[in-house]
Amino acid sequence: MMGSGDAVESTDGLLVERTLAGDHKAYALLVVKYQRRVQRLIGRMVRDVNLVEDIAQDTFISAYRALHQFRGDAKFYTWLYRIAVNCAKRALLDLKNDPVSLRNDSSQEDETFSNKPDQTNHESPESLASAKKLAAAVNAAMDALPDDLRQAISLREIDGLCYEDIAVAMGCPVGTVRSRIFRAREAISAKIKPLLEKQTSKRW
Amino acid sequence: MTDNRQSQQEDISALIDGALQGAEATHALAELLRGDEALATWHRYHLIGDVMRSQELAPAGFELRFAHRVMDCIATEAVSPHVTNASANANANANAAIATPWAPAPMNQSPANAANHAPSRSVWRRALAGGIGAAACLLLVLGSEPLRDALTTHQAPQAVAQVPSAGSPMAAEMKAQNIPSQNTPAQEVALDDRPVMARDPELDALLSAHQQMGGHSALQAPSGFMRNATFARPKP
Repeated sequence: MMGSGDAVESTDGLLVERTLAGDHKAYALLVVKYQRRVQRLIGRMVRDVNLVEDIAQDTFISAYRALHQFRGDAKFYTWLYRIAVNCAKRALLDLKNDPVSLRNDSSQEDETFSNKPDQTNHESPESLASAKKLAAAVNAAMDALPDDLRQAISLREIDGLCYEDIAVAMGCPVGTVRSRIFRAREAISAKIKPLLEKQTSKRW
Repeated sequence: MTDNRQSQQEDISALIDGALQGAEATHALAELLRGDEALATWHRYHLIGDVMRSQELAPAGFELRFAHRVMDCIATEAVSPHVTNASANANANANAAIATPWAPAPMNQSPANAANHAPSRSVWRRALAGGIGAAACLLLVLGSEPLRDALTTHQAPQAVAQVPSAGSPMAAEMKAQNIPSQNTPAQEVALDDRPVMARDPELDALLSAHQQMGGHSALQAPSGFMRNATFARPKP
């Protein structure tokens, strides 16, 4: 019986194989899957929010170029994680050595420098509100789910159990687990879809 | 939702959880790669899982834009996962995270991979040594007038070879080529299939005097140690 970690890795492995076979769209699926985690990781290392996305982009491009060197027995995200860390470190080093940024860095010279957080290093209030709203919508949708659907999706997404283990935990067939998780996702999707479309329309 | 679409969405859900194997997984992936709506579903399902695990992962902006940017960059640069002549930046980052190469061989071995393999060092060394050795033996120094005059007094045409100083890399190469050094008496030096060179003691003396006077070759560089060499003409 395949464990939950192995199961997910098999999907990632499939996407890596498809990418190496020349199907770029398969790589796009990996980007969509891991972009949030990569950006969060980088955001913890680099204060400037404007740089986070650039470094994240660099990370995924680096990973793509080196994909043929990815070991099949290691977790894809572990491998990607290390690339992200290196990209962030390199960016920080470049910032440190950049004479322009050093010249403009008042903390180096200004005796009156205080530790007030620089507003430009954080996301805009509007962006933060949008993210909060989305998170709240997911929570509300979860609360509104029938118990069996909420339990199934929680065991999968938060506890990381595979379908077989969830089936044992809930005392139902694997097919039922699969159906419940799908229905839970669809119900939550229906609540967040308008918010996502709103973010899309704001972009344009 | 139509039955077909529902079935497709359910397959995506199962694929995300790694619950599909073999042909089922391949089929679901093929469907997923077919259209934008499937991609949007993939995106939403993953987003739900991330936000459930951490509120921090809730996105602030249009996320698919980021994925489009990445894929546009990849397409614009015509980057291939098999090509390793990427920017030093990207390579340094990627290589730092990589332990050993991918175990199964890639399906399409790009010619770029073969091209990127450097020739063996022994090949480079042999080529370089051969070139330097031949150049050192056959180099003609014809700059200064006294030297030219000295040369014209002899019946046979002569080639003067400038021998580099003992400690120089060229000297080491010449030694490797078995080219005689300063103290070797006049003798014929065979150079592959080139004409045999012989030394003329009289010319040696003239050249030595020249060296003492000016010490510069026609190339306006310190002549250092000089030797003369003469091509032995085949007898008619």
